[in-house]
Amino acid sequence: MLTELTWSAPKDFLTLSSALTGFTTADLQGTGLVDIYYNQTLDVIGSRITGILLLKWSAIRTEAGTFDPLDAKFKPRIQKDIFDDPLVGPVARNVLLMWYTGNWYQMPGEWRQNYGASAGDQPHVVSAKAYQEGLMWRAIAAHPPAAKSPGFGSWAEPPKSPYEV
Amino acid sequence: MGRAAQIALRSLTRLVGLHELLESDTMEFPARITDIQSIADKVHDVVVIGAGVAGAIIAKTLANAGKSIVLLEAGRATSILPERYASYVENFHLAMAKVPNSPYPQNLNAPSPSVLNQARVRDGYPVTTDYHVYRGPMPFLTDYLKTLGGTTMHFLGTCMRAMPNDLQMKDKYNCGVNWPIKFEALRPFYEEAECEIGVSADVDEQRNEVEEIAKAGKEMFGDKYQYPMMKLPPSHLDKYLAANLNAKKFAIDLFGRKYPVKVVGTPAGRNSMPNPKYKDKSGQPYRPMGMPYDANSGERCEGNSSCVPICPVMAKYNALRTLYSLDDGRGENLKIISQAVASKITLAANRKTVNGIVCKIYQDENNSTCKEYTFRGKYYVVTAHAIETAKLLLASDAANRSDMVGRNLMDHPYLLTWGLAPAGQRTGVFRGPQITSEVPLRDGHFRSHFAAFRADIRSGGWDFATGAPYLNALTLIRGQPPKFGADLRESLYNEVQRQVSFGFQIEQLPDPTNRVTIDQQYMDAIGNYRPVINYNIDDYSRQAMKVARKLFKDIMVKQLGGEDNTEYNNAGPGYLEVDGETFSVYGSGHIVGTHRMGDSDINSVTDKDLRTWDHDNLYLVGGGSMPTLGTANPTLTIAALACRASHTLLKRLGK
Repeated sequence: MLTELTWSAPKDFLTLSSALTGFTTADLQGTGLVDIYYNQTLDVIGSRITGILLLKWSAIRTEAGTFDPLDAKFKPRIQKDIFDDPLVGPVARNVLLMWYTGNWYQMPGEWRQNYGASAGDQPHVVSAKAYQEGLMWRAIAAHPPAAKSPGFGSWAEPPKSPYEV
Repeated sequence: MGRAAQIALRSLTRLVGLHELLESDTMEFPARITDIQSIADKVHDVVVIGAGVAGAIIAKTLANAGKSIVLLEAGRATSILPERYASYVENFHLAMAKVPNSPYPQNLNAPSPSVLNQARVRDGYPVTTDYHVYRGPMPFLTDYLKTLGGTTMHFLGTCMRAMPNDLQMKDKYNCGVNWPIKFEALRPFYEEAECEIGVSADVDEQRNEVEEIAKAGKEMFGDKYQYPMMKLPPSHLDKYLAANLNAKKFAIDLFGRKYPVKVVGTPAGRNSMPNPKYKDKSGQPYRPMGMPYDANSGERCEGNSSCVPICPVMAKYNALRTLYSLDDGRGENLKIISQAVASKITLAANRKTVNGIVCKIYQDENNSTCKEYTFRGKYYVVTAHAIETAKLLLASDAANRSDMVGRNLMDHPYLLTWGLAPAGQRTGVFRGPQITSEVPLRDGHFRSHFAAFRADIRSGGWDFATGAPYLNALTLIRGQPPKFGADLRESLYNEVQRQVSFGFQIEQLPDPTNRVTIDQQYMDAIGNYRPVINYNIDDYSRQAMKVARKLFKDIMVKQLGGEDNTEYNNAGPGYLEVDGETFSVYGSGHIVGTHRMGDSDINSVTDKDLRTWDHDNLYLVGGGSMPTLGTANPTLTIAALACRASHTLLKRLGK
């Protein structure tokens, strides 16, 4: 059992984030939030459980023999080894939610009961930048209100396709 | 110094006496006190209480005409400084609940109500968790904002005129009351207000629409009128709906008459392209005003999609723009004092005139220490908001011979409906102004039976209805099994891109039992009364909800071939029943009626010139002046009434 984070953990966090979000590692790095979200996860969840999550992901990748996190062949293993796991599954969901919304949502009550509730586990917007970079706005071909304005009259055009934004 | 900074400084130096400036690094607090005392020592031409749209217009118009004006604002003037305005945008980014007052910090000495603090009134126990106290049967479901600029800081920007029949409800439909003036008395002031605010609309479209439903096109707009700016481009969703409603001549049958159901552009105080056919009173073309301190921002709407609660580039009008556009050289005429909470109107011994306004002035919104000053003028105008004006009059035992002060409180109950366009259709939501078009049912004989309404076509999809797109992301990611990767991106896109939502603003009639009162049990931090509100929604408005609900279903299912997904929660503060059917409504912030004008001192608070029947030099201007609500968002009518009151006051003051 891993109890300490390895030197590769931040990188594993990035590739796992890519696999979860469906956005490339370049997209994620472009938000400037990789380190912030990694640290947010460590702060609230702790290094031990975060380490277990990343170790599981690392094992999936090694076994699959491919390094593109968006490769569809990871999907069943992510479902089984990560999401179905009562310890790390809810953490992965929260990391994914954070990428999509910029918000840290409180961990589910059952998880807090079983694995502990830290003081930082309160619902909040991670930062103004996190709000603006929420991937959900890109996923829906829109933009975060009060930021990244698309310009006069843009709303009259048909929306872009899912991967055009 | 850059050009933008020069513009900022020039604007700001006009605002003599402004607290925020006096509190800045260059000036000390004692300097402020001296300055305020010197203002309080003089008798000014007019003291204006409340720096929202009405107060700003009156103060500016009179100051431009050379009159000496004191403009008192209970809230802070934070937003007047560029970097502080930007901090409000950041507050919005950082708020989990992005409600209308989320950018603006609560102020304990000049509190604003919050939609987050409202709850159902149960078993007759008043709800006291908000700044307002709700005595029921329903809570009053809305908010407003105390700050320089007033509630225009967070308003949507919709700027439509009332319809002529809205002013004659008693004569035409035998309900409500008539106004003491006809539409034609307001028309020139609507034109003035549309220039002041900067309204974008297509006059031919508006005229044709009211001609078709009420034969009132010419009465409302004349033959030659032009709006200052062109209509805002309709959204992709507006066009999709128009193709299925307007183009197919969809209509609704009400009491044996057919009413067209169609998409019509909504006039907006939001910058679009200047209208080349428009000339102002001095023959000049219209020049949009954006950020006063950044010439490169906001002269057009940039599509920030956050009209409520804040336009980051001020392409949407707010009353700060009226203050910023004071004529050069007139700054000395206008003393703006923020953080000055009007607490009492004092009357002469014979009660025929007002002789002062007592204000509590605070330095820190979290510290209730304040100092009292009395400001004096030849005339006094209260423009403090329908609820606050009524409260101030009640607290001062003023202007209430009719017992109508605080009564006839109205708002538009806001009924949301939501559905999905057919699979494969993209509605293009979550981009651009929150409303560009509407589906109106604003007038007709049915008003003898139930309320008129207009439906906002919401550009933000199900945002208000369900919390989209956050709720969609939460549901997909926390689902069992969760969506992730490409599957998540595509599912989210496909769900959100089908969203359609209407917000029906339903007319409410004046009812004297819907009212604002005061009670010594309920005081704020600095010893002023908190408004205590009795409120209900009557059957006239409730019956319209049934019609609206069915209309939306017919549009979604029959006309679009999609789904109606509307489902009301019976736990919310706006829960109500109509003939056994559950509904849930919100408020609209369209608060009117509490100091209505009228023909007689028996049943109204002011005459048609907005002068109180009881006190010769006291005027009340705002939503509270309106005897009926109609279906228009009231800001433009409030602005028109303010323009009209300015003329009246100028006449009385003499040139």
